[in-house]
Amino acid sequence: MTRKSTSSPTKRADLVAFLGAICLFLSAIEYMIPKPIPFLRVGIANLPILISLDLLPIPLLLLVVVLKVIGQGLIGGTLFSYVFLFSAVGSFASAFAMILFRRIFGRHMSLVGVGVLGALFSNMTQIVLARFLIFGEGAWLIAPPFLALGTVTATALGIFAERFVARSRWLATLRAAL
Amino acid sequence: MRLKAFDYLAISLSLLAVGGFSIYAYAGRNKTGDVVIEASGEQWIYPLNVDRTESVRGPIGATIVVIKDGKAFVQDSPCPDKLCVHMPAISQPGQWIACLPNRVFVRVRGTSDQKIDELSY
Amino acid sequence: MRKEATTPLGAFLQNNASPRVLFLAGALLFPAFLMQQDILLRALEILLFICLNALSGRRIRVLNYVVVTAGIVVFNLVIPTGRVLVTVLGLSITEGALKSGLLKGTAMSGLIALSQFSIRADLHLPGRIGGLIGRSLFYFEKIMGERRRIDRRDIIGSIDTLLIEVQAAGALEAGAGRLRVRSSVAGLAVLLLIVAVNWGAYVFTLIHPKPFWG
Repeated sequence: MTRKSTSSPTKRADLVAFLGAICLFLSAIEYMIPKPIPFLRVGIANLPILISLDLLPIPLLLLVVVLKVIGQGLIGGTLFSYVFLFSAVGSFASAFAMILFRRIFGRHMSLVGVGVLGALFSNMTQIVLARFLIFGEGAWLIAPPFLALGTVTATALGIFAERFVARSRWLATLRAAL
Repeated sequence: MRLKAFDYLAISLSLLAVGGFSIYAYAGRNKTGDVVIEASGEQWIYPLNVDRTESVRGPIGATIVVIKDGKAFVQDSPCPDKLCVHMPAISQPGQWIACLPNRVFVRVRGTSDQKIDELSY
Repeated sequence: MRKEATTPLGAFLQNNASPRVLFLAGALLFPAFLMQQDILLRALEILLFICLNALSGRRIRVLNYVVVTAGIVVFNLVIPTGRVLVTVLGLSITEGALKSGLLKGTAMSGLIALSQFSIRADLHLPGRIGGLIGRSLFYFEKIMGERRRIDRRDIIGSIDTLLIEVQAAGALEAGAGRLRVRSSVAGLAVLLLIVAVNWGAYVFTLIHPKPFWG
């Protein structure tokens, strides 16, 4: 599904930066949502990537993830902590999964399924990381609710993403320009 | 919007993972609660699932309470016969350990019962 | 949207420190601030950052910072940890949870204030990634500025509008020629002082653990 782009590289770079900024904005919102368990992530910040899956080639998609992760690290001041590592691992696992399954299933799977699988991969890798890095065996105890909540939120986010893609004038303009 | 066939597949896969992890994590394991330590008119609350060592002061000295591997026990206390130290570790709601000479009371409470009345001591 | 500084002091920071130097100051302040575990010192530092923001000509809504911090604190209190300070309506407010909540809450507020002050739209970081990150942060700042526009009753529509407008405004701003601000000695001195004070506060806590409330 490679796309010949009609826009300039600068414009696309600017779009990548803009998408990264949306990710950062959404993760700022997510940070303000208080969590009883520190690693409960709603994953709102992955929405821009989910929405751009059909919009950008893989390298640019991954670039958005890089911007998201580094940006989150800078803004959250977590660049030197485990949080950054978890964020990076989770974000890349999620992005790889979403890209992969979007390519595999194409139109047979909506953004809901893609998002759910992305969240699954992200959360499982983070749990494994948590098990070895900070929680020990205790990591498995929060795994089920963590994954369950991830499934629910990813489904909701996927539905939102589908609705957004359908209605957004901004996206429509972008699709035409790219 | 309508969910496509493979969406259900994805969700099912995810729920399967939840089920799998549930079986793995909960078979034979207990839910953890909080440890409540009472001494000198004060109260301390700690979760059972985080290892820590706390020292509380009573009239005759410091009692050391250790939380490890989901259980709480008294490691040391300034009382003469150290009954509290020899009491087995507690982990279930309702269980308790007490050091009477030092007026320290350690008990486990479930995570949901925040409304239990303070035991007067 | 950036306001032109209205006070002479505000203009001072805008005109006497280049974005790169501001960013550097910010980057140096980040670890010093974050490693600061004493809550009182942190609060003072946040106050300092907010003042610096005000001096840079930005609008300050103190209520925002208070609400953000308070919200994070309240929800941290839900999980009791440590010495019980007071029990309200069956919920025990514990020292450990309160401290943890305050640390997280102040971290959030402080870093928002810090990055608002130290990150400028016309920042040029090295390398292409650096440039992209700078651009991303620029857009981020813009979106945050417009976030009040998001209407809960029409989430998609209002977000859509916000995105269109921010991207359009951003594109314009990219094209506009800009005066390169050069750092003056005075500007550098002020920033150096701020960095030194914050690091001094941190070092102070190393020598004197838990000085005020940590």
